Amino acid sequence: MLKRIGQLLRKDIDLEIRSKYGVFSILLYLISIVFLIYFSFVQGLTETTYVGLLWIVFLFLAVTALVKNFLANDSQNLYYYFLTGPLEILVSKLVYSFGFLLTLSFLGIGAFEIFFFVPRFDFLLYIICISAGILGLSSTFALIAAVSSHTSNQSVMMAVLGFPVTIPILLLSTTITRVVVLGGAFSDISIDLLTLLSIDVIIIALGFILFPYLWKS
Amino acid sequence: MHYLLNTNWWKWSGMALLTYVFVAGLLVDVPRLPILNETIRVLHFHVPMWFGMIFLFLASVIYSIRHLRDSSISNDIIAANLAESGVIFGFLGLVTGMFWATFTWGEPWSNDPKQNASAIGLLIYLAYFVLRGSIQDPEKRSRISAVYNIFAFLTIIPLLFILPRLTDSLHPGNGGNPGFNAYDLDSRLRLVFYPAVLGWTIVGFWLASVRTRIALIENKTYD
Repeated sequence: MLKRIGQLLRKDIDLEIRSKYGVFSILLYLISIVFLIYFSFVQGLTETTYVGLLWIVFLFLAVTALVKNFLANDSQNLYYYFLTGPLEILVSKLVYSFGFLLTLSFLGIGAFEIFFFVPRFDFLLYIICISAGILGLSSTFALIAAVSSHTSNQSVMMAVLGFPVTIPILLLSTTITRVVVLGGAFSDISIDLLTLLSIDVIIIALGFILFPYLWKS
Repeated sequence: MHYLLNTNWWKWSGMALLTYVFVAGLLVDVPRLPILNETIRVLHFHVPMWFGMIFLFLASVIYSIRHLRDSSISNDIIAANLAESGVIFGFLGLVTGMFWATFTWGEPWSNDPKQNASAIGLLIYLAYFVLRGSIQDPEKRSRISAVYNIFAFLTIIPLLFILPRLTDSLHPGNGGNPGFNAYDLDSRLRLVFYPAVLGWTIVGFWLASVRTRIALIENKTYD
């Protein structure tokens, strides 16, 4: 089973690398947004604004990047119904979404660091908080993409369904990231980080329970 | 629910309870605490709305799970109408809460976490209806919306009950304020409050049952 998940993952990564405009369109999107923020906020960003904008950018990146994850009408998908089980497809989609979004988020953090100065803080803790939030965003949008792939207008439905559901994740992520950027230590954020990770676990468990009802049309 | 669809006695008891609540809630003496004074009477109208909403959403989720198990269209119709009733009660709860907040907290919307969380919870369920409207095929629509219903319910539970307790909040029971137990709800209030919860929940299920009956008949007509 692990082997099949690895093969599905490699298929997804290969498809993404080989598509001419795939990754670069999203990178363009990211850089344009960061430029726009740079030009709009002439007086620079306070730590609170920095964190808020960072997570808004990640939210929109998640919606644009993960919409191609599930294409229900793709004729290739017919073969997967025979070859693999739903859980293997789900695990590979979750891992792929998380890896993709995490890479994009690190590039986003890098872009923000280039344009805006923030005083030094505990970077490892920062990365942990970002990763926990991205885990929640990616698994939520993977599941929402599966739900909305059956509707007539996938990207719009993904935004409509996804935004309210991700608000608790974003709320907790912005809180803990802000505390870390303002110079907090692990003890300041441990409770909220634990809550965020448990919400992530709930979403992933929900995905495992519900995906078998979603994958076939 | 099928029992509720076929009997009437509980509707009469709901009407009786609510008549009592309206009369006693507005006439009976209430303890006058600072800030709250007489506005505590809204307790009998605001909190039962939320109780009713949670019971209606719980019933809706149960019928969604049943639909996923046996794919019968009537389960899906019941689930959708219960969710609709729940959303109506949620809006009423929000409006009564804003009305109450104008007099006690000074403004209708004071960025309280529980207020924000309940508004977001309602948005999640409104998205459920958008989803239902966007899928044409009835079998697919019922299955996908059942999945989303379960997802939505299990999202609003931490949103409404856990997150507000972790932050500063003006609501009783959250953010360090005394809750319903420590409120030591005065016995005079309890006399009206418990019937209010029961009465408003009955009205919620009554509303859902009427709409469900209409929808089930329509479904049978189009077959």
